[in-house]
Amino acid sequence: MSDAQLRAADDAALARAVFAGEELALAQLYTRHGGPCLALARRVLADRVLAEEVVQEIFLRLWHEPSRFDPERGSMRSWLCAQVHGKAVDLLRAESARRAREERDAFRSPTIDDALERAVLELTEGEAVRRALASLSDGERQAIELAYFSGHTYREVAVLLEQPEGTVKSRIRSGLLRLRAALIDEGMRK
Amino acid sequence: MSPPSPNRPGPNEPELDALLGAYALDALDPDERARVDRYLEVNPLARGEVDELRESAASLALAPVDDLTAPADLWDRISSRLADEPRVLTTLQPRARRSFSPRVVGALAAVAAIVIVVLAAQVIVVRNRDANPPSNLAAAFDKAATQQGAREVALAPANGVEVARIVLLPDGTGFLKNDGMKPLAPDHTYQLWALSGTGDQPIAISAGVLGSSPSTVGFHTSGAVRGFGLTVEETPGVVSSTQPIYASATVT
Repeated sequence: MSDAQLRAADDAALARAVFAGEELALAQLYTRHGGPCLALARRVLADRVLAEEVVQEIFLRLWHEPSRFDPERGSMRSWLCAQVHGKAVDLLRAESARRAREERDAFRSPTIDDALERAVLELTEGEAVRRALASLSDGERQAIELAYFSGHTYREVAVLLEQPEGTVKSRIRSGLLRLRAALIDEGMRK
Repeated sequence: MSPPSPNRPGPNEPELDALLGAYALDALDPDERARVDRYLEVNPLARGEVDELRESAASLALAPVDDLTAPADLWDRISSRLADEPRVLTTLQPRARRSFSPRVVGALAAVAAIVIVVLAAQVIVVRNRDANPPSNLAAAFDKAATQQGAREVALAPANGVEVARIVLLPDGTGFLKNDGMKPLAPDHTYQLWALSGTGDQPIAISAGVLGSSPSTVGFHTSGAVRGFGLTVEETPGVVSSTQPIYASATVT
């Protein structure tokens, strides 16, 4: 593919090109999704060096085993974010990283994380996500943020929020389903 | 309501359905995660919901506190390591799933004819591209054989001499090395099948169309693998084989 073709190609076409061994296609996917992936890893790990290692590992995984991405099960961004998040959480839950998380959490409210809302104002897509998040109840949003961005299990979230475990897992699921509907309303999902 | 069996979750398990949101956020304990993993293997509706929930979760990454620009120096580091390992190439499409009749399980061991019923129709092609020269794949085979948890099996015809070896890693990555598979005519190809499923309902999955004269190839499997079989097919490979097993091996 030429540079123009790469820029115009959708993610599915780039995935096929990666499968065929086109390094520039991987570079284009990195340009599109590397930033959000890194931001997500940094947010979970609170450590830029570790976050970059995670992102590096995931893009190398995509290159070496491109068939791990199944386009019929979701978008490239979703797959990359899920891979990055899973790896980051694994690291976070490792015993060596537990202390760092505890230190970080000492400076972090377990309830409202309004930094999220501040950041999304900068981007159109971010604004849409902010509106979608605003459609959730406080309980749903808090549970999702503590699980997703802080890497807590839902049992840990229940302790932090002083809520029954059943309530928390129910809120996470209902919140994600409500978020999906809101993103569809915002035109970000089909 | 009786609790679901940890080994055979049914097609609809409300208790496990309630965990899907936390599963999509990687917010389960390892034991619960394993239970949901097994549940998703048998419940496509639940799997579809997880995919949807993960799409929603991924959108949250658009709303971070950090700069969303991908740093160039990180790409430089990624790019410099692309050639460090051989690539494992299967297909971007869903893999073919076939069911063997119960007698085929024995046939794999006895190297008799097989009857394959198509459940879905896609063939996986294992490609030896320039990115994966044979020497790299041979080295990858040797390296894999030394890894913890690796299982190595020899494929052989019935009462015959070994013709290939397979190393299978715990994550499903596998490598086959040709130790005596004779070159075929250009219009024929070897095809590798991975056998999984239960004793009553064995399933064979095409693990790769290997070409007429393979040396070392990489492939990927998912789930428990009980054995492998090789058939000889007309190019470009088949979705339904009635050919006899050329060589086979059981995985213990």
